[in-house]
Amino acid sequence: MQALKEWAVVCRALEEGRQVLLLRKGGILEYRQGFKVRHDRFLLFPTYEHQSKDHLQADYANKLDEVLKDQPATGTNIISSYAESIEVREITDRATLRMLANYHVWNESYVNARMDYNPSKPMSVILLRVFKLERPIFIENKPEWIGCRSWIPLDIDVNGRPIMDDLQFNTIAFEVKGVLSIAA
Amino acid sequence: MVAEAPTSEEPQTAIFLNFSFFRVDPKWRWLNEIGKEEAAKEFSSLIEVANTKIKVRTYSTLGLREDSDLMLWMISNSVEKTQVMTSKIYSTVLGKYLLPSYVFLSATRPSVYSSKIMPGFMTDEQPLKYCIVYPFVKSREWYLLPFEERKKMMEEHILVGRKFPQVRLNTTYSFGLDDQDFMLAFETMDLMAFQELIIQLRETKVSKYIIRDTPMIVCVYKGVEDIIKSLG
Repeated sequence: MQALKEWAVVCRALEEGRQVLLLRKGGILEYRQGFKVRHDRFLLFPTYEHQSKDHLQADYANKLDEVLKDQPATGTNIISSYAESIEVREITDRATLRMLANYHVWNESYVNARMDYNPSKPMSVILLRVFKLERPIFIENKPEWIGCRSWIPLDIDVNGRPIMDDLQFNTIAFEVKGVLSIAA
Repeated sequence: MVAEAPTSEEPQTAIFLNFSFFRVDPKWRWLNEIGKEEAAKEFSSLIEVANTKIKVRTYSTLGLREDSDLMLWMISNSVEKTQVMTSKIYSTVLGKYLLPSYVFLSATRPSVYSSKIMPGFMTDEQPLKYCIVYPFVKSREWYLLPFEERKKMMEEHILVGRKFPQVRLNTTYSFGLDDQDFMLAFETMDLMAFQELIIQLRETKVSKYIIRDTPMIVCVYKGVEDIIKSLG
C-alpha cells in the first residue's frame, strides 16, 4: 500500500473522527497536474513540518502541542492508520468549502490561502473512511521521501478497524454528499 | 494567533429541495419569434448563473399534464436562495407569462430504515431522462406503529425497490416544511420499469398506510432553451 504524506495533526484528526475530508491542491513537485488521488486505499504518513496553530480551527489548535509531544525520534516515523477514499470532488467555490468546515480542521483563512495558491486549479475534496491499524508501523525515513511530494511508495499490506461504525460514517457521508451536491 | 472557528451564518449541511411547476399563459404564444428567442436566451442565462449558487434542473411537463408545462427542481442550502431564484424567474420576460401550479418543499436527511440509501441527486451521476415527482403522505397510524414493525415493512418495500436498479430514488423529507410527509422523485430512462415498480409496491404492506401519493407528475429532463422553444 502506498502512503500519503499529511500533517500529523490532520492524521490525528482523521484518526479521532474529527476530520473526514482531505483538502488538497498538490505539492510543489505536482504543480503541473495538481493533486490526484492515485490510490483508493492508502496509509497516512504523518509529517511534522509546516504545521501551525494559525492554520487550525479553534477547537483543534491545541491538539498540535499534543501531536508534537508524540513526535517520533528524528529519522523515524510511526504510521497508525490507513484510509479509503470514498468520494473525490473538485471544488472551485469557496462557499461550498465554508459549508464543509465541520469536516476538517483547517481554518477559513488557511483554506482561502490554499485556494489562492495556483487559483486556476480546483481544490480536491476527498471523503475518507479511516481505519486504525491493529499494530502501528515503525519506519525509518529515507532521504528521497523528503520534500513536497504527496505519495511515498511503501509496499506494506495492513489490516485495521474502521474508527467509526457504518451508521456513524454513513450519516457523516450523507451530510458531506449533500453539501457536495450543490457545489459549483 | 489562533484563528476563530467558522462563523458562517449559512446552515452547515441542510439541503433544501424545491420542485416548482409552472403553467405558461397562452398569451406567450402571441409574442413574435424574435422576442421569444431573446426571452429564451435571457432565461437560459439566468439558469446558468443560478447554477453557480444553487443547483437547478429543468424539466418539461408539456402535454403530459393539463396544469403544468415545465418544472424547475432547485437544490440549495437555504430556502431564501430558492426564493431569490423564484423572484429572478418572475423578473424575466418569460416570467411575466408563468403561473405557478405547484410548489413542493422538502429537505434531505438520512433514512432511519437504511443507512445505505443515498438520494440520486447527491451522487455524481448525471440526471436521467425522466423524473416522476410526487408528494407522499402516510397515515398517522403508521407513525404510531413500533419502530421495529415499521422497519420490517420498510425492508420489504426497499427489497422491491432493489429489483429495479434502472430506477433511481430521491426521497426527501417535507415534515414541517410542506403539507406532505415526503417528496419523492424517481429518475429513470424507462417509464415502464417505473410503472412496474409502482405496481409491485402497491402489493407491499407499507401500501396500506399510504394516504396520498398524488399528483404524480412525469417530467422530462431537457435544456431550458428547448423547453421554451416547445411552448409554442
